[in-house]
Amino acid sequence: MLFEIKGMKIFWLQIFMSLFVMPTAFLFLALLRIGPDSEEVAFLLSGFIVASLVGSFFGALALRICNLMQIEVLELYSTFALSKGEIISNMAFTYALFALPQILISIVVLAFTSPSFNAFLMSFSILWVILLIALLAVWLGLVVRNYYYALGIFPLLAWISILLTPAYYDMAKLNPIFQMVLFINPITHCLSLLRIGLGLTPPLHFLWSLLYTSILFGLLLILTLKRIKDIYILEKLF
Amino acid sequence: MRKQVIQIENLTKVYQNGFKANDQINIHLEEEEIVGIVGPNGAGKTTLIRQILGLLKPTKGKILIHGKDTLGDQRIIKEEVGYVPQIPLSYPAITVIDTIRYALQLEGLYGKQLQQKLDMTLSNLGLESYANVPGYQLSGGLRKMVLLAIALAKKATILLLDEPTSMVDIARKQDIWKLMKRLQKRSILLASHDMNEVKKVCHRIYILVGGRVIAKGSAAEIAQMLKMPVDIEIVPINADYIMPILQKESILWEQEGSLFRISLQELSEGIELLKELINAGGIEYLMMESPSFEKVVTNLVQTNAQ
Repeated sequence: MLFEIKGMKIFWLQIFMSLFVMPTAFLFLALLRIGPDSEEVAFLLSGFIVASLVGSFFGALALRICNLMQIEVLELYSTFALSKGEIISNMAFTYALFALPQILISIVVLAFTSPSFNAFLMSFSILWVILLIALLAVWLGLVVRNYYYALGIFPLLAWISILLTPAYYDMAKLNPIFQMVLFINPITHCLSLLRIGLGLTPPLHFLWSLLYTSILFGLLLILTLKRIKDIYILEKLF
Repeated sequence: MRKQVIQIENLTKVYQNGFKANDQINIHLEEEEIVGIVGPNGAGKTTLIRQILGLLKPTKGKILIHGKDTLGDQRIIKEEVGYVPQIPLSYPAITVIDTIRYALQLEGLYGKQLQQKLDMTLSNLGLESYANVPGYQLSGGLRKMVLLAIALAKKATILLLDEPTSMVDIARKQDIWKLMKRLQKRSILLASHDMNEVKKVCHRIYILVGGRVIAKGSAAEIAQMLKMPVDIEIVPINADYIMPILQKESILWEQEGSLFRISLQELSEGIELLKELINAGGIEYLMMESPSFEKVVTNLVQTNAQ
């Protein structure tokens, strides 16, 4: 992991901007809205945490996985005595570390402003959501593989995922068809898990979300391990 | 017979666009042996190496490393194979010393032992003065040296070197060749364009053309595969003595002042003629181009390409 961090030295400004400055700017905007209504703060910041994980962490990690699939990068990593699984898990861990600062700031604010803040549930939910999003990013990165396609696909996917998550709006006010679409989106379930820890009424039932994310996690884990075992140079780029 | 560390059996690789890069290749590498793979651009050398490394999926055939099929389990590749890629790659932000240190740490070395091995590797490859230079500032040749250092840092019993000395200056090339010969406990599969390199360091050589092995053997065995003309230039001490010999033999020759240019079909004929000329009256000047390994390989490649 230290090697991965050292390797990022020359990209520090890009990483700092995309993984910290930009998400923190949104956090700052959300904090500006803080008023006497603690429930609104919890609603906005939980939405921010999920949106920031999808917008910055998911996109950056998925792109890095696609970058790893490029011929010269695969060749470079194959010079070391590292398995592909080790390389990928270290990448995921490193990017998760970079995504943590603004999440930790949000959690501190929530701990002080939200009367129903449940530290245990919140910690569990955050860790679970990070794991799930990391796995989703790795799997999608291994499916897309083509870095040049990925540059277009992942920002779009992140944007659609955030749009179809009731991060900043109330799901109950939508018509049933839209509600169904949001129910399919795993990010809605991530948000639901976070809001439980803040004592908010989640968009979906806690058990539903836990079951949905657990099944998805298991499925993604199997598919990802299978893909990692079968990593070969992408023979057809376009 | 020594133990085979790599066995490649009927290996065929057809790319998605239908291009057959390797066609029924059978190659083996024995313990402590250096085997060369020679061929023109596009012959399939890199494709072959990438399949051994598990970076490309073979279409057909088997690759066994220490008797284990790499298609089922690639762990053996990570444990037993060190690799120098053809492209001079580097970790752009990481210094030479950190890159090599990391490779050594992955082999379980720490503390004093790590420092000793690190110093030795840097010194062996002449990289001491570049220790703190980041990858992006290194020239192509130096990147190759760092990649070689990483491969040597591994405890791997097999080294796959894909044109390890391309872009490397001639002095360093000589050092690398010496180093390769010193690595007696390791087996080396070397893909190269440099005939001089292959001839100097390899015990056996495979010639690859159009994805097929067209010849194999030692450099001397390959040089004997084709009859190569021999060109001799001589200045005799006394031209009168040699005229009857040249006229007597059914050989092609021409005279330019005191210089005679003689063409023969084979090296043995050339040697016999020279003996005769020396006995007859002596030679003041001699220049002989014998069948070179490079010429034979070029001929083999051209013949097969046609």
